[in-house]
Amino acid sequence: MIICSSGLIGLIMANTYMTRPLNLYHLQLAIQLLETEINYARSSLPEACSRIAEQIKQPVASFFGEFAANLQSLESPTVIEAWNRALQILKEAGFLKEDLEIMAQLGNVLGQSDADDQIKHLSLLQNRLASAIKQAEQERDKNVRLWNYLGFCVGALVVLLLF
Amino acid sequence: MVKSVLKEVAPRLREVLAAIDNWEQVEEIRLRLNRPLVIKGRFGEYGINYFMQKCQVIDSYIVTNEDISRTIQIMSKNSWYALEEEVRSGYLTLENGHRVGIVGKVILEQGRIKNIKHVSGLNIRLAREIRGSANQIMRQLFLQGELLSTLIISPPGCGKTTLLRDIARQLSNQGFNVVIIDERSEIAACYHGCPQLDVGLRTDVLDGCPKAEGITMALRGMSPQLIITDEIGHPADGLALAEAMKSGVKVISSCHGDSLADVRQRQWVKECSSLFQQAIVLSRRNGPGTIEQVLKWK
Repeated sequence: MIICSSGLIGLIMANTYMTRPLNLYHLQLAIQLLETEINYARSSLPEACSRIAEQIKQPVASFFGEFAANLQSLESPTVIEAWNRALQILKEAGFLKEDLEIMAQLGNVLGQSDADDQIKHLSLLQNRLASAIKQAEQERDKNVRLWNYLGFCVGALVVLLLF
Repeated sequence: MVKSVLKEVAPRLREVLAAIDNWEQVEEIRLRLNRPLVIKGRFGEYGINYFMQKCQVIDSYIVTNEDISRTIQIMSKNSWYALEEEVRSGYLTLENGHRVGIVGKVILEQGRIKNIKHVSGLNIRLAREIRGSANQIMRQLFLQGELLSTLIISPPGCGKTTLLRDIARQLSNQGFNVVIIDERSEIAACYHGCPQLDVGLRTDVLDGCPKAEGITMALRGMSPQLIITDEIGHPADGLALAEAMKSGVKVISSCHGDSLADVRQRQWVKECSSLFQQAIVLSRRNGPGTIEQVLKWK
């Protein structure tokens, strides 16, 4: 029992390291799609974001879906309000604070300037996400195996000490 | 329909504009940064004070930067980049056909207008269709059952565009294939290419298209019986219209001017005036769209 539960905790910890690079990767993909929408189609934000929500994996999809819905809601919030409200979804999905901060910055500028400027902001964000992905991958490689074994080992140790 | 403009302005302005009780007569809502809000129409003009009551313009609500920037954000669906083309031409067309003129600091790139920054003024011109405004003129458009190519001459503000729209609607519903070349998106007030005002069952609209090119395009592909366009002014427009009329298509077009003699001076008229079959001169004497004179060539 002890070995199992302790092992499980280890596996859960390992899993968080596994999902972060994947989530960030989907986020980067979505930002890339947004850049394409703005650059080539000049679609408006609600239009572009609801299209992205259909193409991308969860939880990033519900973030973009929520953002588009917020923008279209009756009280017509500002971009930053709609963006920050939608970011709650990523927060609940377990995104790290530092990753959310990178995203939060985009809310300040999104939609407020001409296309050239928007594209610059979006590529900057993609670069930052790329380096976050790299870092997340390094951490994953380092920590996943560690937590996988650590859980079981600690469980075994506790058993040994008890008896 | 006119009131639908309320959802396109900043929430604060929605409350203020709720004081307007004669929407049917309002023509323009003018927002100028740090200056009073002005409502204009056939009645003249008035302002709305901080107690949400009608008042003199001088006592009116002062428009803030926040009001203007929020309004722009809402109108552009928070996507300023999507409007570059429209901003460059100085106005936006909204979903219900309302048009918004924009002024501010103009950004140039290699001598061409690139964008407008720091928007300081908006002029919201409310779109309204007056069905039946062409009733009087409709009889003049036919001679022995044949539709005549007609030049409508009028000073600004006499209801030319409203008239052309109603002519398009009526003739189209009577069975004519109509193409509207709507260079300034005023006749059909298209939003995303789709007419927001009733232009008739058999009417196609080339939205935002330069007139000369548009006329040629329409002739090639849309087999029109009637081409409607407004405010011809360029010699190339005259040539294209002449081309259309020579190939048997009827044309109804408007131009600025007070009288035929006045219009005759212009360069483009030389290209095509002999092909028009009549000219109708409008004025504002008995309200917009008063017919002053009908001159038949034929």
